[in-house]
Amino acid sequence: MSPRRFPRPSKALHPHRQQNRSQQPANDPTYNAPKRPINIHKENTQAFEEAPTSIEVFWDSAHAGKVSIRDDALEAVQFAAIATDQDINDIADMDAVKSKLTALMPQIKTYWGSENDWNQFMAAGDLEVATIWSGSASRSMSAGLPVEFVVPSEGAIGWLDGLSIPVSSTKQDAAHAFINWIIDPAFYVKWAADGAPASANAKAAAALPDDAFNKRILSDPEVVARVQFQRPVSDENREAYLALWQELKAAQ
Amino acid sequence: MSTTLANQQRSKIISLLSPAYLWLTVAIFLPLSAMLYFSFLSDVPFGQTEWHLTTENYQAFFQTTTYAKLLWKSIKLGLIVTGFAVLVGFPCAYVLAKVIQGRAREALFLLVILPFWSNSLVRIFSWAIVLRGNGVLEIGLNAILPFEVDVNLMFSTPAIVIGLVHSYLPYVILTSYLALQAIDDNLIDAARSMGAGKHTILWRIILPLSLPGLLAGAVLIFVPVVGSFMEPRILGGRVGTYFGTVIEDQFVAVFNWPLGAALSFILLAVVLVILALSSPILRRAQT
Repeated sequence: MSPRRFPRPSKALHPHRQQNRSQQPANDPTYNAPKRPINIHKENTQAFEEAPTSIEVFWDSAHAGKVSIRDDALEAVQFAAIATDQDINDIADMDAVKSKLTALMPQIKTYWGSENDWNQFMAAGDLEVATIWSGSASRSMSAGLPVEFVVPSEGAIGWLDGLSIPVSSTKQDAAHAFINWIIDPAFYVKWAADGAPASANAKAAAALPDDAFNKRILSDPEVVARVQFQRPVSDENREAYLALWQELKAAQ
Repeated sequence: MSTTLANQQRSKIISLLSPAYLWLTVAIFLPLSAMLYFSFLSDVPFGQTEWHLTTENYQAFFQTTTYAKLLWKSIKLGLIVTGFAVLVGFPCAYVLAKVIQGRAREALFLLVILPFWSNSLVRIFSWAIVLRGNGVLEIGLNAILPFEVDVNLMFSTPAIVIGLVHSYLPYVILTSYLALQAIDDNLIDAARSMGAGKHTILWRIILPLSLPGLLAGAVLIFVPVVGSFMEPRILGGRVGTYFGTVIEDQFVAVFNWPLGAALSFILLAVVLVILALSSPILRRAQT
């Protein structure tokens, strides 16, 4: 796709994502039009007098049997990597990750697999603290769930969704028009009211009202600096993470 | 003349059997053959992916204890669910076949086959509403009992067993009912007239004669429960990882169809071995 049809990158991309983008392979289509930082954790506010700040809340025995993370090997391993103060894209101490996850398992009530699962479990009071994606969190809060989204002091997992157009597309103009529309500030403000992911378009992010979720939580540079963005994972690592996650789940 | 009749008979048999066997060939044999082929591939032959024939997917089962542990866990689940279904279903089938007559029997039969009328996913989510803390069961009990009870069975092994027994109970009731109904009442009356007590009649006449139906129901439950994944995943929470859920993960979550297919065939082989090993015992029990 031709970059000249879109807003210039220096204006289209949020500064922290520009910095991260430089770490990605230039030809990786996933990062062509980054628009969504992600995930971390969130709690049922009825279970907390004060919102926790540390990822260690997942291992706090006060919340035993009321904890959940997504049923995903990569996310589970990277989550434990953050809790053991490691780079999620270059995990040096897998033993530490394994023992951290082993200690986490008894705390877990259930794993969640979809936003719908997560909302049901939270609404039923099955969970007090769980990981979640920022876009999902804003939707749940808009729907009235008594939850709060926190980016822990140790960090959080983030990733970038891309909008790409195949070279073979016969509707290139329509595709460009769609992308321009979806990153447009006017549309984004409306979308964010119902719960939208963070936008890579700085103008769109700036157009949000001050109390909007994505502005209130994710516009703080200190918060954003704590987010570790996922980079491509080798097949070898992916298999090792899956084997570890399956082993831990099988032991329950 | 006799040759013509034989030919006519043969063509009748072929015309009656061929729709069913054609359907089985298309619906079962072809997909299973495709899966068997997939289980020997190094990667999913998708797009530009390079692949070759290999036995690595089958070797993977033996390279870690994870799969064997989960398979054993699934077999245990199959035995527990089958056991509960037999304990609950056989007395029900006996009452329906030998005690209740007329309209009442029809009404009770309707209740037995009711689970078949609803979607399995709907049934499981209904159980989730009932079994979870502050759910229908807990609210109902607390409304009746003079003291507070805390009933939160959701995300536990009992929740999985309850959901699976509910789903598969009709099989054992229906097969046992048919076997029990075929028992001549005169046999029971004769035994009674000769002084046999209730227990003797049950152990010496009813159980042996209805055993084929009971065993057929047990097999119909055991086989799908060992490979079940939906009930464990939804009702089991952290403890809901079984061999079936790992197979599902390979197809749905990690796009490793070859390993998923290999694990499925290992499960099929183990179930067949179990049935083959138990068949002499079952045959002896029936004679």
